[in-house]
Amino acid sequence: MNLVSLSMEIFLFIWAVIVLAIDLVGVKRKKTLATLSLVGIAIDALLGILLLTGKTAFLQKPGGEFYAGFVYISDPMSLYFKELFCLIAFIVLLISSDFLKYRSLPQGEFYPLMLFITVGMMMMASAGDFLLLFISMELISIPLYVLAALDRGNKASAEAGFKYFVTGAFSSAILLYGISILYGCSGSLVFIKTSAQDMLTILTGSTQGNLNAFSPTFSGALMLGLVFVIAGVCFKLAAAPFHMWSPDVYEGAPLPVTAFISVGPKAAAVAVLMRLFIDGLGDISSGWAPVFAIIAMLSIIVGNLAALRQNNIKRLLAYSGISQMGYLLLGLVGITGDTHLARVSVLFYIAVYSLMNLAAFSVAILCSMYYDSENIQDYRGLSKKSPGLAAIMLIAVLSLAGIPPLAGFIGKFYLFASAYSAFNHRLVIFVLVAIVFSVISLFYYLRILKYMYFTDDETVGPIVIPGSFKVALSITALAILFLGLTPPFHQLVELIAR
Amino acid sequence: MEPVILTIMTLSPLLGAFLILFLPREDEWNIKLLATFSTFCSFLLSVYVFVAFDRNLGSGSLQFLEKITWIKGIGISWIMGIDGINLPMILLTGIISFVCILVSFSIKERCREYFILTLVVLCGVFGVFCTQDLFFFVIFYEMASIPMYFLISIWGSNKKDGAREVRKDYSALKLTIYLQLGGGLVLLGILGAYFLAGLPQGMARTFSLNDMINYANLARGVQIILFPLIFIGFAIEAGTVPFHTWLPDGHSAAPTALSMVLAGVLLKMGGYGIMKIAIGLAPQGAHFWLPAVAVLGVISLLYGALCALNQTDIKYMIAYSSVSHMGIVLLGISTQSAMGLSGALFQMFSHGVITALLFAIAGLLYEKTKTRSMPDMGGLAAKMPFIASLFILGGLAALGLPGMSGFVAELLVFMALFTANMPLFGVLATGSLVLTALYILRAVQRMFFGEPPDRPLQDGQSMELAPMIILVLVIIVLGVYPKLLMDVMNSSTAYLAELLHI
Repeated sequence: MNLVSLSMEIFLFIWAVIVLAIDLVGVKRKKTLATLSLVGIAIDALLGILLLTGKTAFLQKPGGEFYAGFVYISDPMSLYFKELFCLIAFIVLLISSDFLKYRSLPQGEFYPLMLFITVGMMMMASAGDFLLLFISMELISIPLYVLAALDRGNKASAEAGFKYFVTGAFSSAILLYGISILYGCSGSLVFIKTSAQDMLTILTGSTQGNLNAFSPTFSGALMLGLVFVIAGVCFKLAAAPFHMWSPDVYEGAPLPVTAFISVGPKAAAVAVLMRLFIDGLGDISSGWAPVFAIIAMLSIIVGNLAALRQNNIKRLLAYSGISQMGYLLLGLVGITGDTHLARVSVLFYIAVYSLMNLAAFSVAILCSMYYDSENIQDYRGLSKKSPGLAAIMLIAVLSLAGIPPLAGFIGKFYLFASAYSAFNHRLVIFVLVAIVFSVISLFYYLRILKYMYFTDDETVGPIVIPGSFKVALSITALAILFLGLTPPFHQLVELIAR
Repeated sequence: MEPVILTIMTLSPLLGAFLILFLPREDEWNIKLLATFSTFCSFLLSVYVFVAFDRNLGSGSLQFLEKITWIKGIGISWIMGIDGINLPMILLTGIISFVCILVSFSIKERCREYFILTLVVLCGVFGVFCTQDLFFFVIFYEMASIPMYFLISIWGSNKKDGAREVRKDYSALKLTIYLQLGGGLVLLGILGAYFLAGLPQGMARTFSLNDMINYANLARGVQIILFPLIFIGFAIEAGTVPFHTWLPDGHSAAPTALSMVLAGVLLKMGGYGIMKIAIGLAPQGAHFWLPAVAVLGVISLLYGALCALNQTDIKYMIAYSSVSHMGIVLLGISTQSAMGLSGALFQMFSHGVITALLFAIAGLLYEKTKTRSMPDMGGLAAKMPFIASLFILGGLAALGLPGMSGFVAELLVFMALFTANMPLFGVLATGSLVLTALYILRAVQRMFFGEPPDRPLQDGQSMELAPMIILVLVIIVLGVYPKLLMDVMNSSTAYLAELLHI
């Protein structure tokens, strides 16, 4: 057993327990907990970078490493996702401590739970069998239900938590059912691509005996199981028609938690998509790709149309997130065409999506603390009072809308290119619809900007930006500006997608 | 220095915008100075490139070529280069951008943001014309159109005309949505060409326009599907009927300088895109569809002129005249001959200068008289003779008076129409000149002649008139000596015409 490649998870888990223990012992200043968690995440991220760069030979080799009982993959792609999760958690922690204090929400629970969720997400990115996949998914979900209901005094928050819990538990059950059918079809819980002999060696340590490799052939039963698995994963992605929970949960949950729900679990679900569908089931992609194509279309249409009428920034971003996931799935569908491009596009977009959403939520959190409102009408005159903040919202929103040269555009460019390659050039209509709806999305994205830039309001003074927000805002804003246009990130993604 | 000249020219306005970011908000004078300086650099470089361009090199070869590999994985490179087709457009952009910054000196409200956004637009326009990489083309295209939303919404003007009111944020949104849709269609077409290029064995996929034109081997059926996608995308941008409705609203709501940029160069991005990208990528598709394009062209020409005839708002009239004049560009392209293509290109250049002039005067008149309605003006020639004579000069150029640039362009296109065996189109197009003359002369008569107004009005100051005089000079020089531009274009348009007839 090689514990080095598990070190990120082990470290963060221990750190989370320590933070929990410190809170139990009792610290006066809750800020200490925030700082501790931030330091933990930062160390963990550094650890990941060491792993990624320390083994250059490792980058050449696909596959990864396996542990007895579970198939735990540690390859460049999982490290990429883990770094992304660290970044997401880091930014969410940065933007939450002030808000929690402002609303006097329990902080002692918030930080350790966030760290536990991050561990769960990391495990999900490395999961090579269904058992591990399910366990890590629950490790993410259960703390998230608690976090959504963090604002116990508030009815909306309690409702959000309960709703999230009921629908989430239901989707887990569906996923589990799908897994059982898949197990019945293939006789194996392991879904990553490897030869039966290799796996036997890995799992039992001997080369004797029989083991079924995961190489399902296409059949009706398999398709049935796949549909359930897809439903379970799409619930986490909040892709239509499994999206109903997301606007309500987003609206009710405290803002930092909403920010996290809008990116964290989605990024983890995308890791599963990459692992299970592209790596594991890539051979029968013609079987599942059409399902995703339809889900993608539905998400794009439903998300964009519903977002048009929203006034609450959280609901607006919820629907925008639904449509964004639609675009992402469209890129995934590209697997039937240019496989490499499909991988690149999905890996690229999920990182970009996370950062632009976090940028928008950071501004929203600051505004909600100052204006005590989550309606976009209350952003009136923001550009005059706090031009910097307005500028960051501007680039975040334009990037979400896919306006060049921001990262969101480059991401969408990859996705559309990938989708285009798959549709055998006859179903161009899918891409056309996606493009038309991304134009429609301008209506609601520009509406946010309209209030900020073209109207005046003298009632509230300028917003003072706390230091932690400054860090978060500058990280996300710089990423949106330069990630797309400068080559290094492209090269990294190219390398990882290989 | 030579290898990076185009990059400097393109990025100079962007650098200016970046520097302005660090100037204090109140320091309006330095902001304006910096903006002027950065566009002046681009202007000088565009003139230099125009002079230094080797006119004898011929065919589709690029000059001043710069190439840096950007994202290798999907074949994106930073390629800048000049041939006979984009060179006139670059010169036009150089002139218009410099003049438009001069005209913007009267801006007082939120000066810093205004200049930053305008400079970003100008950088985008330069980029669109200079770049030879389709990916960067899309990026620059959007850079040139998105800031328009803010420029119109903040610094634009509403129109109240009896019962019908056109609010500026409505116009801005309409313009943005239309241009985005156009951009989306173009993107779709480009992606199609990218994946179906059928490049020779061993050649990686590329977004380089030149490589695509030279090596791509698109099937005819594919070209027939791709051409309309790209064409409609650009036709929206070029304000072709029936995709033109954003144009009058957008142009009229925009602040003066931006009306000039919109009509002067942004419309030309559409025409240029059709010539360079739509025809370049899908010549056989173009050959198939160009007769239909001719119909659209003639409809734009006549419909635009009829609408212009019916306007009372001066800016709306100029905007509809743009629709009409862009119809001539389409007609020129649809002849598929070197002469017609040269005429189209010449028309784009000349129309860019002429409408910029007309919009500049309309803006100045609005500043002085506080009205845009032509019947409310009347008799202004007595009070402001300079402005009146400049407008009349511009108007005469627009209706194609010999000795001015508009005449050369229209003559070329009409001759090409008759030689290309499209006599019906030729007759209709020539006939439309009557309509053009009608609306221009009527506007001149309504605004400048008749009973002079009682209130005291000042004629333009030299500072205000300087930019317009530059434009008038360009119009006359080109009208008298069209060879200046023709020399540059001829070999490239001949090459393009050849491409169409393979």
